[in-house]
Amino acid sequence: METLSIGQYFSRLANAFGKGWTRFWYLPSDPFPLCLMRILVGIFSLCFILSYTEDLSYFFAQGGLLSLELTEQYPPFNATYNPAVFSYFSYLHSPLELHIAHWIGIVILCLFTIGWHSRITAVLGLFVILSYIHRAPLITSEIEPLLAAIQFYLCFGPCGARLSVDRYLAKRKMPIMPQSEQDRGGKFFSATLSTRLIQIHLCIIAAMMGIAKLSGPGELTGGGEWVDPWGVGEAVWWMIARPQTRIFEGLTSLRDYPYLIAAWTHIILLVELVFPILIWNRLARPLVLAIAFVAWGSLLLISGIGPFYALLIIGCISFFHPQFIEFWTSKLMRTKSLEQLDPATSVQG
Amino acid sequence: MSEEPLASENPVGFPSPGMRTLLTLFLFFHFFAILAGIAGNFGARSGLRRQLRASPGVQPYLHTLGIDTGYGYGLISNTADDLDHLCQIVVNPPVQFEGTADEMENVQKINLIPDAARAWGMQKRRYLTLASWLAALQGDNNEEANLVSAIAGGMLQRAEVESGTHRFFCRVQQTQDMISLDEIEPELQNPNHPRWFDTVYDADLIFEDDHWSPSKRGGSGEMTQSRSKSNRRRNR
Repeated sequence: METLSIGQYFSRLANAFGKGWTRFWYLPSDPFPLCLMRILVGIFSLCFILSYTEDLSYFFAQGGLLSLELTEQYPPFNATYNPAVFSYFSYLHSPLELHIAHWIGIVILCLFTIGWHSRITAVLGLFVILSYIHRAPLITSEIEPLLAAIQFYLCFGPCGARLSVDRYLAKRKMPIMPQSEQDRGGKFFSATLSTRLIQIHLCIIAAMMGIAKLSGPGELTGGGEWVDPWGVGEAVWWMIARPQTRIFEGLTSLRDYPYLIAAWTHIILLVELVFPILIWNRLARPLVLAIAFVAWGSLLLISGIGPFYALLIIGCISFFHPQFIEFWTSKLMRTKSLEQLDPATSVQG
Repeated sequence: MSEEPLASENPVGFPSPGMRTLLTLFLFFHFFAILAGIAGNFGARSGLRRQLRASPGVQPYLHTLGIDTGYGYGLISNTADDLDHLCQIVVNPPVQFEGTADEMENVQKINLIPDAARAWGMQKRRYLTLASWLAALQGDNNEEANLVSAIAGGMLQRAEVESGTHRFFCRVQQTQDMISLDEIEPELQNPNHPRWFDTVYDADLIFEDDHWSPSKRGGSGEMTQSRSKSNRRRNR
């Protein structure tokens, strides 16, 4: 066994950490997953913005539900307190002005989704989304922070390099790839950076959701003895039992199967606790992703914040290997067939 | 950070050392901000956790990106937070109006949530979130009154009601315990039966100085969903 001095040890440690850090964040990779995410996040953002259409004047117009004066009472969203919190809706008051700005935002997100000048439309898309979030903090739920974060991370990567109008136009203009592109092999360090940011953010969210379920509410009021719904395995039932957000009436018949409810509850909890750890193990990753898709897919139906879980599942695409996504995308589009892939390469390394 | 070994492995496509340093500094700040935001927003907040969130640049950065949150999405906590809050205005109620189920049947009502809002959609979630703010702000008279005034003003403007004296209610909808429908009274098998609702805020709305002002009557106050073990045994 090699004997190292303390100086040598720290030198080697720093060297190894530096190499690992550089490889983790900057090793060029194929942006295909990012490009697929651009399309899905773009569609999601469009749905998010379009869902405001009916209520735009009701919320933001003069005398509406969320007057500017009301929003500014909450210091984090007060432009005087924090000038960086900007929303163009703060300067628009008439229904006509609001609707013009709204439809311009929709056009920007459409362009982002189809991948037209993606580098610019990604940033503009983030600006559009944040304008809605900052104008109406009182109606933001779990969905908005995740949407803003993923859109922000997409701004870093070449999310329009594939599956985009940009790509189509570039191919038409220059059928043969330039030498610099060929040397790079269609890989970008910014794709890795963007993908890693999304991956780590998802892990943080999953971990915090798991810890929140374990730790219960911050404070308890009332004199009754508190029963932990996640501990006793009834949390899924309490979600199903909420009439306002119930999608299928039929799910209430599950009350007759308490063991199923308990298993469902505990699988959700387990997934959120192990996801941030086991997702980094190459062998465990496909299994973790499969179970996470089932668990979060089920919450999509019963939690009342279905769009949040849909976005979480979209974010998980960042963990898939580009070849795997390309294989299935091309299979779906039936444009070309790739060689059979080794299952071990189905997720990103 | 050593560059040479990496450069020999794959020199093409890596960012320049200067760019890497800048990006690394950004990554450290970004994740520090996110973790400080989580520390400051999640669970009980100690002095240190508050100070972390108040570090220079952290809060403006998180606010600007709309990610100042603790991600404490427990979904269900067996408290009043689990319940859906609903706001409703009764237009020009009779003098002795108490808001009972029978009385409610014969008056003009305006609901905050549009009838067409879908259970799974983002639109309904927004209205439920807004109503839950009102429940959360209860007790803080200024903020509570301002929020009610804004919500009621918007609801009445949409309904094109410009005058009169009205009643504003915020109700919570209780959920059915994990028992069979056969075991509960037949009339309560409907989750929208009035007995599933409890009023947590009740105020008269009076139009003065160009806006609707609430005059609180007092609801049942903050309520708790917590089910004790004895209750659970009884229910079963």
